[in-house]
Amino acid sequence: MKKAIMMDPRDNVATALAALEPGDEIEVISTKRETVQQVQSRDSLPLGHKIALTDLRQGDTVVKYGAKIGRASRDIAAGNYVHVHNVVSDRMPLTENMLAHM
Amino acid sequence: MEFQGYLRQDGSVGVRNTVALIPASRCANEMACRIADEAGAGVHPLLHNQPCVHVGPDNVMARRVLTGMGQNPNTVAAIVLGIGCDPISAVDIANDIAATGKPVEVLTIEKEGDYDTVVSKGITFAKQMKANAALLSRQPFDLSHIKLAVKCGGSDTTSALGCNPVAGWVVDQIVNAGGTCVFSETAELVGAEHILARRATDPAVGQKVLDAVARTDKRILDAGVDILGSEPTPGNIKGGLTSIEEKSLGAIAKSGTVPLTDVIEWGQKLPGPGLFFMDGSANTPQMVLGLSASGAQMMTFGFGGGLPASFRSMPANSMGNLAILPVLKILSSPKAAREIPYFDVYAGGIIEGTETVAQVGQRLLEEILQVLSGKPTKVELRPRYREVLEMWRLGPVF
Repeated sequence: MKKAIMMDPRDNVATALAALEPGDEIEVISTKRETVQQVQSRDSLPLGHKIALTDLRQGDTVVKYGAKIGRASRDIAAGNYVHVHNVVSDRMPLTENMLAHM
Repeated sequence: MEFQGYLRQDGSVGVRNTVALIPASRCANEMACRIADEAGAGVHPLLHNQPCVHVGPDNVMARRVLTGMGQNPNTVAAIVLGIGCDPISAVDIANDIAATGKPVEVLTIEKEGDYDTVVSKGITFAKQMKANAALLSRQPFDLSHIKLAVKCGGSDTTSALGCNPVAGWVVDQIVNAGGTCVFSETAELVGAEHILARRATDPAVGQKVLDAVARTDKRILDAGVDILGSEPTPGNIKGGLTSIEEKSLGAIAKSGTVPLTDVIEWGQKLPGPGLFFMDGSANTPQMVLGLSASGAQMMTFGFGGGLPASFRSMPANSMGNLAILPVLKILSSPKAAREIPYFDVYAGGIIEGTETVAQVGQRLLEEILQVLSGKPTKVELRPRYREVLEMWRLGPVF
């Protein structure tokens, strides 16, 4: 089974350890390599990118390493790809010019 | 565990014997190149962009850095080159370097009379310094004599799984053994400053971390909106990093888990053992200059797996001529496995599930000890190219 790693027990996203496709069943592991939960991927995403572990409402805090990495800019379902298209930084929001490059 | 180094007169331990040619201003860069061309291997021009027209505080920083590069334990001897009208006096720089007890010469057009005399005398001095250095021998030192700089670049989300925790594991070993580690890049603390501040032994040091980030935040905001959105970079985003907070949280993993001893200024000499954060530029050619002036003996440079991993020497920086700071490269992402031959340590096994952080960390520590003992890194084995080091400046340029 493909794996994703959860860096801290408080996180609501995990980092994919392989490229994921819609429908893939993902084993979520901890940094101690213990299985924490399973999640079904809803999107395609490359290795190293993030997948949501729980449903998030617009404005909810996105947590990785046990700390805030931004806010959901729209509703996100468990299994969705989490990146600049649905998360915004509190500290240095990306400009439209930057987003246009993505 | 130990490494083989050169004991210097000031008690520091060098790991390379570089004869450094230090221009007092950028106008002396050409003479430094002419001397290095004739004097050959082991003699390196430390080219930089310090002009005549910088204002007060920036000249203070530049002087600290030019002196610091000469005082770096890997500089076995130095020749300071000037025109005579350099805003930072070549004689002052030479005197500060000489205070460490190492051989220093100073040559200016004003004193020697003309350009050709400076160059020909410089060649003679450099060859003599090189010959004297060849007679020095290494002796064993334990981990408490290590001064290691750690940096990450070309970051993606695999950096936080591979190179950064591995470097952090090594930092913990070295600092716990009484050694010294330093990292920098204030802009890349944004969003993680509260976590680093909590690691400070002294609350006043934690406040310095918060203040340093607040100053950087203010400078960015004062510059207007154009600079907003410069972090994470397009390459970072392609690698999966969504925000500066995520990048910063992953980046501080390279500083391990040991307490933060203190915050130092850009180019300031490392004041003692422990873990230090250098408040300074996140622009690689500037931050590397600051770290080399701090007295670090070498630097680990961890990469993710994006396009920067495909640069053969260093990405967009001035390492081509920085012979006083050997750089050891760590690769994190299995996606860039084709680049493994150009890296000193591959950490991708952590992501592939074949190795743990501690296992790769142990390999990294052993490689560091070998590099400190004289083994050339992959970057050092490549043909050198010359680039101009960049001074960090906070004042206006005009």
